[in-house]
Amino acid sequence: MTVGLNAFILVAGLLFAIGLLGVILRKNTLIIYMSLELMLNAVNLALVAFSRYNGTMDGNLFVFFIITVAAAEVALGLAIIVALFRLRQTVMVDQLTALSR
Amino acid sequence: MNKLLIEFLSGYTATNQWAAILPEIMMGVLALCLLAAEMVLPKNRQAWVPRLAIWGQVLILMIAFGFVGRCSIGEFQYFSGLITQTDVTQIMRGFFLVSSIAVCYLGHIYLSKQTLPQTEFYALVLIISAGMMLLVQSTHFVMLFVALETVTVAFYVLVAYSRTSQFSLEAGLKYLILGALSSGILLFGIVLLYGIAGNPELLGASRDSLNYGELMNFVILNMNNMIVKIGALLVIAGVCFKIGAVPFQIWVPDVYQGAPTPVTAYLAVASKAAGFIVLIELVRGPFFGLQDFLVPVLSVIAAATILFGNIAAVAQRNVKRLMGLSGIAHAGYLLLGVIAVMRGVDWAVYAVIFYLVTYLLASFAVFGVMSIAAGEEDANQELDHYESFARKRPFLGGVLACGLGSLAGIPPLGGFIGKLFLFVAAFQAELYGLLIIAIVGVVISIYYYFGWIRECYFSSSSTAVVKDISCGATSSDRFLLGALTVASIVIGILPAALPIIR
Amino acid sequence: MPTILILSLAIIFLTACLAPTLVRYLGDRAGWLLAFAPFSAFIMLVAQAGMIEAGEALVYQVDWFSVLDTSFSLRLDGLSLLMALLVTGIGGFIVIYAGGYMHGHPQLGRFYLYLLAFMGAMLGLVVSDDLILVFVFWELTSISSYLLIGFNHEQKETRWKALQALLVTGLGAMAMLVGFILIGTVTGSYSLAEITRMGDLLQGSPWFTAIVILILGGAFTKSAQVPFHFWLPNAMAGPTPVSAYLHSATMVKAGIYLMARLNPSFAGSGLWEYTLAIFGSLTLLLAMFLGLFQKDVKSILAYTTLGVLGVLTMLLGIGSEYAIKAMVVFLIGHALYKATLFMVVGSIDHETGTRDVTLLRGLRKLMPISALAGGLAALSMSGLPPFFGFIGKELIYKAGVKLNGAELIFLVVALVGNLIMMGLALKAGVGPFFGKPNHAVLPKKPHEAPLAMWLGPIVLSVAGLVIGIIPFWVTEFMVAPALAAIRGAEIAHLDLALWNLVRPNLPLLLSGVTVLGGFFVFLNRARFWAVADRVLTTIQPYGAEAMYGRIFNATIWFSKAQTRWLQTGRLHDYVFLIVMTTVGFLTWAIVSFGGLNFSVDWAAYDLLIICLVIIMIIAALVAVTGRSYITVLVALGVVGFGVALIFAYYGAPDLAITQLLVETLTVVLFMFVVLRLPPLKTISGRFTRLRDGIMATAFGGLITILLLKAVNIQFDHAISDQLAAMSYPEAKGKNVVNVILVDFRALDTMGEIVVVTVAALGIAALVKSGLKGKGKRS
Repeated sequence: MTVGLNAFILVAGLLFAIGLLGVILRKNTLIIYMSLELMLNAVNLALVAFSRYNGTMDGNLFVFFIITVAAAEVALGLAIIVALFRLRQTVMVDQLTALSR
Repeated sequence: MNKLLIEFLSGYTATNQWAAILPEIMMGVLALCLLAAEMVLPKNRQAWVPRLAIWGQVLILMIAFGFVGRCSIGEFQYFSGLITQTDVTQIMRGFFLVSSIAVCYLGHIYLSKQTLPQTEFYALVLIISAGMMLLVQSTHFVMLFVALETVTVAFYVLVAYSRTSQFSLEAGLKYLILGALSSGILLFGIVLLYGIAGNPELLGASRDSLNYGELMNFVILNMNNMIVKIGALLVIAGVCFKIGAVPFQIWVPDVYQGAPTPVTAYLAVASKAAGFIVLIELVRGPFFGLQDFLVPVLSVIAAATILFGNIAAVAQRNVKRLMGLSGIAHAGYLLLGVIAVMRGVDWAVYAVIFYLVTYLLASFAVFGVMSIAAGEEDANQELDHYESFARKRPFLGGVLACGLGSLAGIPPLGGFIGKLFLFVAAFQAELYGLLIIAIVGVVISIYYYFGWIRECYFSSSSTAVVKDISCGATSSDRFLLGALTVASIVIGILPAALPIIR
Repeated sequence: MPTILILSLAIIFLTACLAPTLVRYLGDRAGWLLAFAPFSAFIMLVAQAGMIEAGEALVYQVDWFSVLDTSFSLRLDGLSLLMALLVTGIGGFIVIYAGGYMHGHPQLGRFYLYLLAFMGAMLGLVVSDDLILVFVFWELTSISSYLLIGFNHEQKETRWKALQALLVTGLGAMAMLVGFILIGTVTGSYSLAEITRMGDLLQGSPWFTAIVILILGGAFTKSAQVPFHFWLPNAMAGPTPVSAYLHSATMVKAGIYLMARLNPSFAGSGLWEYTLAIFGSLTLLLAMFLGLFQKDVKSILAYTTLGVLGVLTMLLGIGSEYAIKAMVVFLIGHALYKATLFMVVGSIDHETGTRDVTLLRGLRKLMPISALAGGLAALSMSGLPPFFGFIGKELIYKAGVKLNGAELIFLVVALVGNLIMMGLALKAGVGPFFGKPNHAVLPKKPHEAPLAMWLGPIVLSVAGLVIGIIPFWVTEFMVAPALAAIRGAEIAHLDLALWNLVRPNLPLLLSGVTVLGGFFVFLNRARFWAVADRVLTTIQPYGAEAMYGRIFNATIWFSKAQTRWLQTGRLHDYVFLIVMTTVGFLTWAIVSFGGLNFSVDWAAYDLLIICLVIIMIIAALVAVTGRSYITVLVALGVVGFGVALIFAYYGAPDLAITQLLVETLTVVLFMFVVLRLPPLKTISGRFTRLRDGIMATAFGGLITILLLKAVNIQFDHAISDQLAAMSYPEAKGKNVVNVILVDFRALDTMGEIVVVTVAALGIAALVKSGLKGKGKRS
């Protein structure tokens, strides 16, 4: 009753793809940011699966680092988004084009 | 617990020599000291914080090169192969220290014009510097990731540091999203490599498959494996984002423009340098077996990068964007050196470092002048603001001209020798096509660099209403900028003054 | 005394640095003092002539950088001495002249700085022995030339012309640098003295053609040969002393110098000789043709300079002993008379306020000394005996009549060129001084120029006369050693006395034809002007300069278009580009492997996991399409917790707990922010959504396939089971992760802590309230 590695990898790939879909599709910076988190989750899943099937611990450990770093990134990203919102009253990427050309 | 595992682990922990990363630790401690100093010092003594940051780093620089060893050390592995110290990493330590000292100084100029928190800036600059030192030393993908994220996360903050400016925050947001995306791509590449190289079914599979050395052996044995190639490609793509190579350069102009000028300088010089050293270590280490595959890819990227950067800079009027775009072109020239390394021209590593050093000297001179010349909102510095600049500020004008001249590769400034070394290395690696593109790029770059110099020196002063751009240079500004300029000239005349290449 | 070389360079560069200060205190009289530098260098160099004539060379060498085997080496031989004397000798008079010409200019100090820096660079160029050093000085001359052309930078036109000169010569210089690197690689040496002895090696190498083309790229752009000729007349926008010095007597000869210097290595190859001869003669013809219809005296002189550069190149290409002899003599003669003529024209311009030949007439009474100098120089330029110019021209014809077959065409070219050149010489140097005065139409009332402005012209023009009559010293100590250096032969005695040349023979006959023809051109100048003008207007749009302008504008247009297209400022587009590129990379890699084949064993999966996975995927889809923050957040949370459950299932409870905690934290954090933001609006247009959706799906599909491919090989379960067995049932096993974290990967863990700290610090900096005042600079 073991689940094959392939299945997990498939899930990871799908999650990664869906995350990307969000990054490309959405115009709201906050949602884009959430989608990026989704992608990291996918990477984590793949890492753990590989770790288990390859019989090495490194993947497992790596996930720890990714989770923590991702959390730090989220906190920071939110801080930037909040600061930007305070100043511009918008979080839509289409309206954030003061820097161009 | 399994006896074997215990032995295995104790074998690893034996190499945990914290003394080996003393300079990095000291940087961290100095950063903490700054935060403490802010709390302890009375309000009217807050000016000591930047001084403490700068002189503390000077001290660390002296310690790092006085006690730990000079430029020529052997190759040592520490922390169970997480980091490896070589002469290159030792030189880069000095490089990052010098650049963070300069950034602290520019930050001091910048912050004096802004209403922003002070201490955090210096603390973050110091941590980034330490992070980059570890980044170039890392020979393990986990270490690479952690060090890279330390640097990147701190850069997110610094880019968005001017929270009262919409430009800075927008740049921060763009850097954040694109940076996270590229980190994701990089991570994905690492995961692929980890998964395939740990696969016990394959020849040369390793239990420590994220280690550069182990991975190198695996890749050499499995150089035709598709997953290996794709993993390497994705990792390279992630690094290309950091160095601003086409097509991952897209963030550069916007972020460079929006970020506070000292941070732009830091990104342009130190972050790019770290990216290049990492790239070189990757192509010399784990991806050594993939040269036949990666050389064409990187060649195309290099050609596109040189052409894009130079051509885009031609019509640019905003000087911060101009520096960003020309920085892309410089990344292209540096890629020539990297490719030369891959083609077996070993000394090209030193050519790359030499170029980076000349780039550091010239860029900080230019960014220094920009920091001084900037008004309160420094994202909107146009070329027109520099009209007759040299007449009003002869010293700053001279520094700017020398800096830009060096960037353009005009002899006898350092930038010329840097380009010469890179071109000779590229020639020895038989990269003739790229060399021609690089030459065309250099000629185009003369146009925009001299366009700026022309703005300073040759402008129709009679008609122009001269805008007085902020305050002039203090004596310490003169000292720093003068030192950078003199160093550029000395290196250009006597390249051997820099103990990197002879 | 080899230190003479470095000493004379140092004197000039140091004086350059002192110039602004001196000018501040002395005003335009500083010129007299500054001229000491070039003159003392001149005297020091002249003192070496005896030694050079004896066949020795002066070498000064210190180590430079060894990676390329280059050294900082200076070497003075016959050719270098000749050039160095021209640079310093004429330079001294120009420095004095500039004081008068730029009288009262507010930036005279800076002008002298640039001028003397140029002089130093030019001197360095002609005495350096190392190719890299040659390049360094070469570029320095370009830069100082740029600064000097653009010196009167108030007009936009001037700045444009200065930049044009810089870009054209810069392009050539970079090509030349590659040529130098090639030479260095082929011969293993960067020393000119050694390279000139390795002609066979170079000509036998497969790189020979490339080397010649690249080197000529540098030399032709610098010496304004066709098709790079257009920058030189434009460079006349600079102040007249600059035109006289840089763009006539010295800098433009740098290309000629380089070709002459490398001639021993390349001579004998058809490629080298014919390229030079053909391009040289084309330049001569074109310059003479264009010169015909110039009204501005300075432009006329510019085009004759261009013509002379063509002649010199052509002679070098012909390469016979007479030709080289003619080239050296012509070079000296030209430097003397052309510098004079430019200075005289500058004086006229200075005094009358115009340079239009149709207005200038009868100035000889008012400006007698200038008239004398100008007249002498013009006669020398016309090639009349007993001037030095005559000897040069005689030698050209002597070389020409030795040619045979199709090569005789070069003789015809030389004849036509000389003929028109004489006409132009008279038009520019004699015309303004004779005829009926018409001072009324002139912008200013003319009178004789000050001493500073006639000293140089008179000395140089008289020198042209004197050495024409008594050429012994010059031929013995300058021409002969230079000839030897260019031909790579021993120094031989020369007999160039005037009376030896004036014998009835074919060359003299040709000279006579030249003189008659020249007068004819001079007298019919108005008619020629009309014809030339008509021809010119038809061909101009196809000329080299038009091409330059077109390339230039196209680059700028492309630059703008590229920026408009790529740098939209919209984050969305940037993300799209990056993702698209990555997809492209992957597709390329997969396609080059001939596609994929794999199989998935779908059977026998745990129902629980399958349900979990389905829920996660649905949640993820909801997350990226949701219309309200809360929906998206909840969906995101579901995915996160799902991943945590899978971790737990996989025997990584520590990870699962971490994931749960972090996920909760993340959701809470997002929650805080969401509360402050306005509600979500629509996403994007249908087309964009479709495009992006396809893009993302493609990418996702690719990635999934890749991962599957990675694991498609059967795994050895024994090992993984062993580890599971090892870490699970035993109590200590649970700590494996911890042990590894704090010991095995201690440094990473520390780094991770730093990341968290950084984030905390950053957030504090970004959102903490209560800003402090501005920092103060100490």
